[in-house]
Amino acid sequence: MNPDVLRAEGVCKSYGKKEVLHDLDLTIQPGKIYGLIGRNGAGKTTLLGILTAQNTLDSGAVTYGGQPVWENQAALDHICFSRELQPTLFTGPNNLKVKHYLKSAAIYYPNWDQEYADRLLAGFKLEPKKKICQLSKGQMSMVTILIALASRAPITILDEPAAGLDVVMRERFYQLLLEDYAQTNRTFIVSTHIIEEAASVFEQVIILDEGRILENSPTDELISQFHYISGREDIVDQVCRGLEVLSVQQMGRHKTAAVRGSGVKLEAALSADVDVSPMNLQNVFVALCGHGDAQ
Amino acid sequence: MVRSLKYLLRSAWVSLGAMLAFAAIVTAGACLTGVPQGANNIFRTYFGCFPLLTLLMLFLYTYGLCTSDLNLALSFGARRRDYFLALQLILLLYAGVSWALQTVMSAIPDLFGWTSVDRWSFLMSLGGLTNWRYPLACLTIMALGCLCGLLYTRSRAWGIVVMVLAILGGIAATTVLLLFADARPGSPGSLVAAALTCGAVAVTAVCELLIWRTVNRYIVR
Amino acid sequence: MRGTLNDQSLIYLQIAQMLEDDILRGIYREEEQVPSTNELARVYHINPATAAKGINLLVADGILYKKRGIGMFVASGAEQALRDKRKSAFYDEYIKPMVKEGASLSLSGEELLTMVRKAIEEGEEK
Repeated sequence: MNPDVLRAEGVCKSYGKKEVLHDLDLTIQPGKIYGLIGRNGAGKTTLLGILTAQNTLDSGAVTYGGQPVWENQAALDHICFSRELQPTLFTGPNNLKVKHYLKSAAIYYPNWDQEYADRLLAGFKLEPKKKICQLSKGQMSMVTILIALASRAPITILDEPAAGLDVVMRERFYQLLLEDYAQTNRTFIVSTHIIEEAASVFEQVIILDEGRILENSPTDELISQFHYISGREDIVDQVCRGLEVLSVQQMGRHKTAAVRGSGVKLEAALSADVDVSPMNLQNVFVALCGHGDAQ
Repeated sequence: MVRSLKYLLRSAWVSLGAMLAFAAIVTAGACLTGVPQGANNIFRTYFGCFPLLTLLMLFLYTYGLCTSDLNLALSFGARRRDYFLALQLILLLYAGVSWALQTVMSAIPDLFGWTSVDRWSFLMSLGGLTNWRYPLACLTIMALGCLCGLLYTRSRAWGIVVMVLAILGGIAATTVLLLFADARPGSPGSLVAAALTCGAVAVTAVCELLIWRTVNRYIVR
Repeated sequence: MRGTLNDQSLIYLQIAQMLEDDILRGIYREEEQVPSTNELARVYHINPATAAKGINLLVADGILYKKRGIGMFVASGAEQALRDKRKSAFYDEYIKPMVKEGASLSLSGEELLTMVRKAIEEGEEK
């Protein structure tokens, strides 16, 4: 069961007149933990749905191992898309019991590991007889995580697995994820809002902004391109001339600029009388995607 | 396709079990309240028009097959055409079980010599016994049920309108169909039966087409 | 337990630094095994690939070497090699920033040297 490359090329998707994804290209190499980060409404869930043939696309192609994903049993057998559970389904409450949900997952995922699922169920202290609409938000996240891990699918996608979990459970989740990854080396794509905590877990980061992929690169390569330069405003301005300035904050004569650039371009900054400090992934994300919002 | 079939069967056997249990209760109730001796009570009514009650139950069972069940199956990676085919098999299963049930129940009055009060009292004994039109009616009502479920999620108003029309129309049409099913060929009765039969086939075909279209373009939530 | 990791520098660099510090402190002696990538990943909640990157830096510098099927070991002469490496980096990492800071405080070269001598004396007294 060799995982293949999951590739999206030129994907466009609109809901009515609103274009949600624009000419999107994305390649998912096997054996890595990817973080998919983006603001609300950036199109993360839509993109993931399209990658897994659960959503239709208007134009472009999504292939797995060179073959289209759509209606392709071989591809679908290799992919698990564990979505956020919703307390309401269509027009009424979601009355499906947890155990039926899990049983259905067991039917469909060819690599389902029942023993692992049982262990996680006990570990998460979930009651199988409860209905989904009776679960707390945290418990719903735990079910999402359970399905993703127990599916043992070569490409496993988790949509907002940490939403609703308290910090202790989040740490436990990262731990479980890394343990599973260390054991199976399968491909994970984790879509999340809680960026900084999860950053150390991601080998590669995909930033989606307003339907476009801004970045798809290894986490530390991405982060090392960004810095804060702060000091007296005139020196900061001078030093930033060769760099891409993303945002600026000013307090009197003290100016801090978030910049992108490295190597030679940064040399000037390093030797000048300014503070050059690194940005973490969350800072980078906000600098890249926080445009247009009031400071 | 096997997986989708397994998945749908899990809720199907519960529904079918409920249907059979209900039939058993009605039959037992009838026997216990003197219906075989000619008593005319609620159990006689239920027993008498059980084929129609079955249709109602089928309609309700299929409601979620193209909405929540479909959504869940696709979210777990089911192929759309597999689900559609499995759905067809489940519908055939439902129709088959309903037909068998109706056959058994309609044999009971004759077998045990129940007193017949009037012509209408035992609906199923009116030619519908071995008639293939009954399972056809079942399929039609189920296809309408799936469609209603779909419509309801898009527009409550339309969903309810179609549901009411489907139930009332379905019951009326089935009754007439069963009445005239064994009419002499060429008689007005048989023409009515033929027209209704064609209508049922047409409605089923249209529903199936719409269902296939929906399944194929469905976006999982 | 991300206790000792911060966001002041890239994680794999911090991992490499921590291992170097531990070797210099004698926590991992020459020819002894150091934690595996999976162990580091588990303890610090980081991606194993990141831990591997840190370890590979040390392998490239000749500080660690791999024993197939067993794990990563401290190379002989590693301690000395690390000291030499840190010595040559000492100028850039400690001396230059100190001078720069002194300049921003308008300390003269003489004042700076006086302070350095004083610190050395205090250190020797202990």
